[in-house]
Amino acid sequence: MAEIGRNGLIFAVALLGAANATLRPVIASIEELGWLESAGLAFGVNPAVWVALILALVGLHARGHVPLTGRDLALAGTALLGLTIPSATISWLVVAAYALALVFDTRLDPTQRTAALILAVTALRAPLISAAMNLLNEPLLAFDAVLAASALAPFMEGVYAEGNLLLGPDGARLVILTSCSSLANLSYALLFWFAVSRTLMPRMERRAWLAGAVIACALVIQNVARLALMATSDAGYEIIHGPSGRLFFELLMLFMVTGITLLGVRDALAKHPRDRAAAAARFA
Amino acid sequence: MPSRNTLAIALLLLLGSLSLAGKLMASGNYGQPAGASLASQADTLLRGEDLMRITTRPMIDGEAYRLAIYRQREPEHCTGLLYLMPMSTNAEASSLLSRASSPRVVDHFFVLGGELSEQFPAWRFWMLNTSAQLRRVIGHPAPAPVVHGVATTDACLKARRMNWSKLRV
Repeated sequence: MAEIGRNGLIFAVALLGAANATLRPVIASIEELGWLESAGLAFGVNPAVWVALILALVGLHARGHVPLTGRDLALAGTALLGLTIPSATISWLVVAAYALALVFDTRLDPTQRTAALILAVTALRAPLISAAMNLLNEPLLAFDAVLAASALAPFMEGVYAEGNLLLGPDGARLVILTSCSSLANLSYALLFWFAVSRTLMPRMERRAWLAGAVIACALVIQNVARLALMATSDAGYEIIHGPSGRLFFELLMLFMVTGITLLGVRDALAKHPRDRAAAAARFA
Repeated sequence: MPSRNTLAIALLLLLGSLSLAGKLMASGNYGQPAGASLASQADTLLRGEDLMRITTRPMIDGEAYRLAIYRQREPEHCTGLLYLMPMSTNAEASSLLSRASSPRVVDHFFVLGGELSEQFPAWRFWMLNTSAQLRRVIGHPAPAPVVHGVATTDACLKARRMNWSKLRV
């Protein structure tokens, strides 16, 4: 029988965890849109989540045979047992707990522990954002509404925010719903930034942190601009909220987040040739 | 006694395939909303209060938030309207309720599990929702909770005195 070893077991459990957590949205997306269209929309899972999962799995896939211990088996068995619960949210929580246990496992090499940290952050994002959007829905959406009203104020008279409504002299101009909130988009952007930066850099440099801060600010500004444009008129709403407007802003976000993330990583790596060599060695 | 390697492979094969099969089988059985039965419960409750539904209208693009509009069956003494809006996602539509109409809404409140509150009961809704999900997971299906937003355009309707305790979910 083939020897699986500790590295093989960790990789297999992480892969199964990721599959269990994403299977339901993938199936729902394929059933709703068909294979082709669903594939074009990343199978109903945000591309940032796919990127983070792939980077985490690549990092966990370490070479070399390390014999299994009883602790490895117990940890993997507990995680696998947890994954049998038919709930995507519970699967994310199980993956997060397993990944956090790996982060604090000093027997693993630094690359594996970094990958485990990326996996933990990816897995915790979904339940945490879901809880935040349920429990803090009103203040979070009101924050977007206040910013959008402030952005419109110099151009339109009498525009103000009340809760998550943008109001004008002639009544409600826009209702900001959960899917339009800055926080939901921000969580994906920062996940992508963290996964890429942490994978390519052995330690996070000031430039990389700065890139994260710039991404956060730019994303909120972009989202507020989109909301403000939607509130200008019925025509503005139709254009921005329609398929072409949505695609434009999604592409803008994609290029912006990717560009700023790589800029932060490139600058930091250029400063330290040793770090660049270490990063390259991870994918050798 | 099997080696650790054999045990690991057995665990992966057995629990791994079981977990994926469980997700595949459950993929069609998630999140049954209690919307339809609750809408009917609410309608029955309001009919019992001598109100009749005159129309419904969407509050936003799409069908996510639809307002049911009621008035008294014999409106000689009270011409006010009562608005009822079920909310099964979160508080995102709660601010729409106070601006549901012209003439202006004079009173609005939220009902969850028969209890009235001034604000959207975010914590209790989340707890009930999480508990319903967990109960589904362990094979004891429970309907997902729904918060009913209620607004009136005239105090004569005495909406707060109605028997909301009949809306149990």
